Amino acid sequence: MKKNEIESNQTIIDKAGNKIWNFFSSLKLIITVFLTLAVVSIIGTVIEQGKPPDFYTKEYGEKIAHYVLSIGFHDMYHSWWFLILLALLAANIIVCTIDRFPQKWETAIEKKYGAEPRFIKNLANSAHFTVSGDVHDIKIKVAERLKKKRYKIINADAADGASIYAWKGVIGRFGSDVTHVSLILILVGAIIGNFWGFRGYVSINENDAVNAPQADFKVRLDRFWIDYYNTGEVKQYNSLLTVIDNNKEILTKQIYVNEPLIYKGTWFYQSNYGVAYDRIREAQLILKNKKENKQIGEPFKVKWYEPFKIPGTNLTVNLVGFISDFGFDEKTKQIYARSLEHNNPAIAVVIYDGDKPISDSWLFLNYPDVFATIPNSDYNLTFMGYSGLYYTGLSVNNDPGTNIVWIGSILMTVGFIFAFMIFHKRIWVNIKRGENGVDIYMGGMINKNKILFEREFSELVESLKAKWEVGK
Amino acid sequence: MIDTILARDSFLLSTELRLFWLVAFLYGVSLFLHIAYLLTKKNSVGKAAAGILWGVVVVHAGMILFRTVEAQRAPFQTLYESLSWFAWSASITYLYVGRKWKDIYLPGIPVTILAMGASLYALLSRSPAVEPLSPPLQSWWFEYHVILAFLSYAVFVVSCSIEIVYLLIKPCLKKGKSSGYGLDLNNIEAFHRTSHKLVLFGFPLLTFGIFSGAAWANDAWGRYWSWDPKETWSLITWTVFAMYLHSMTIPKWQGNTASVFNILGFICMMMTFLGVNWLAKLLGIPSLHVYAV
Repeated sequence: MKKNEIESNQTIIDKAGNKIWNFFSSLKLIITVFLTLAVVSIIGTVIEQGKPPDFYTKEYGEKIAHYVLSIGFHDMYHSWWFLILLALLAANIIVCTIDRFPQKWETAIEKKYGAEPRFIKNLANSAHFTVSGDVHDIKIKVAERLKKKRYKIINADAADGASIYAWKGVIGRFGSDVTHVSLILILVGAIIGNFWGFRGYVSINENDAVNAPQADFKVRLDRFWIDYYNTGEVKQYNSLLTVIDNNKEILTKQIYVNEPLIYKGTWFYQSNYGVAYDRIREAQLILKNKKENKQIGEPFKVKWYEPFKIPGTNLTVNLVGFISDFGFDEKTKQIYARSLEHNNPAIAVVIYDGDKPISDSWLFLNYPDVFATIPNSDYNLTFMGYSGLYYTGLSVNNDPGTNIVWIGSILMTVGFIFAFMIFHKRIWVNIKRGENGVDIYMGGMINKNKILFEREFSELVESLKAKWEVGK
Repeated sequence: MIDTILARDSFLLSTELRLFWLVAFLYGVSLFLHIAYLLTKKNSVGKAAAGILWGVVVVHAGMILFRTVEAQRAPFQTLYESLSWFAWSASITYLYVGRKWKDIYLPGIPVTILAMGASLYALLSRSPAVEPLSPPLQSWWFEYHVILAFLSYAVFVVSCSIEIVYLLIKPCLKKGKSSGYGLDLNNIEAFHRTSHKLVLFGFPLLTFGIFSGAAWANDAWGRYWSWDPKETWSLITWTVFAMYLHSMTIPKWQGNTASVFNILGFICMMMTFLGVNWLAKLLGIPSLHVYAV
């Protein structure tokens, strides 16, 4: 009694398991999932993705925005139900592949010796003709012909005849399986990237080094520059980067759009650029006579924090500050940058007479000679121009799933070649001594592309017939 | 110096534009003759329609070659160029696929409609200026990506044209009426199989197009997939054709269900190619792929 109960429980579980298995192995489910994915993806291209909640309220109004946000249509591709759809697809593909595999494998490795004429006649393509000669001799000739056509061959001898089984392109049967595995790999790679990947951004001033985000090394920008076409359009944005790991310069590489720097799994991409608002490379200055406002000597260039002795005088200038859009707060008496634009560039300089600092002041490009820059002297210093300091903006990316996706892509290519270009062709031959000579029964089939095989098969038969001049 | 360059460029450009108008006109003539064939069922008219199409394909090829030499790069960067390339590649693929057909001209109607439509769209609302390659386009992947994508587009255009003709003609044949368009019960299935074969060819191309696009995106933007509308639509197209191929393995679905997927796939492909640009404009959704010109 008890035993029976256990058994019936077992069958219930089995039945349920079978049902679930059948559910997942149905081709119709896969098409339904595909269709659902396609439809929701369309929604994803109509509703803008990844915006802050306010955006949707403004765009669609309170009510619809509420639905959009609670269902997750604003960040669809990362929503739990999209992931579930993908998981369903993956489960479906895996079950389908496993479900169909054993039978495919059987067909692939099956080698039928001694196929009878009756079996051969029922094949999709078949032929029968009679020749004269020795059975063994004929078998070898037929086998050679098939081998020439790149068929693999096994043969057997019987009492009154012989048989051959020939096949090629068996790998073609597994094209769809390879494709399915590759799709799973791509999904796995994408999910790994989604959960363990990292995306960030850094901007680096020229000659500065910064810590790479989420990594233990530094990156320095040696130079940023833009290439132009003759017509003036931008040709390329370039950054010369140096990787510094453990205080050692490891490598230097010029990156540009489409050419990233890769170090320790982190990728650095040229993303944007700009001119620094708080630093410059060098300033151009000129010394003037205060009374006559006449320039003394040639204009000269002062580099950032590199004290410069003005020729013909005892004065030294040190460039110690820069603000691209100078602002002064009357209340707090604080200097600040009004914007990142270069609207009102100003530099801070310290002037020494010999070793003694005598002045510490701001010079303005737009308002020269407004302020007395060197007190208690006959000289005045004028800010003529400057060359700015570029910074480069780099997208930083570390996606451990990428390589799995690439492997999946390559595998899918292989799968397509197997599935669409290689066909499993099988030929059975039965050679029998008959009343009028030796009967050759030949039949064959292909797993798809039947027309292709029809032609190949009839050509093969014709060429064999020609060998023995059958029908002539 | 610059003036001479500009004068030369504008001369070449106006020559090219005149040529393109001629090409568009000839696509129109071919379409007209195809429709005349539909109405008259005269093989001579169909032959003339196909002949004109052969002629315009040759002229159009010369025009594209001319631009390639002029721009010194692949001729499919701007939308203007892409449309021109699309019209040409769809036409030549159709002519190539149908080269052995005997007196079957009907699929030429959708093909010439698209070719003429694409040419007129390019001529009327797109800038023909020759732009140098902007930094993101300067990639090893650029040409491969676009060639693969457009090859698949051309193949899908022809496949869909055959599918439409099949769906329209088959009911007539089943009722016992002879269609009189070179198709009968003996050859219609073979004719229809061409459509399946084309998808079997186009689907891997589309897949490789997506892969090469992903590889390119990985180089340029730092991510192989960003759910950009164009990317998403290409995936939708891929999904629909995957459904088509799978439904072709279910005997019950081989008939109408598969045909519906095939045509749906073509519609999605057109969305991928052009629809996303309009979608982006209509909804104000920025796309990295939308052509600036």
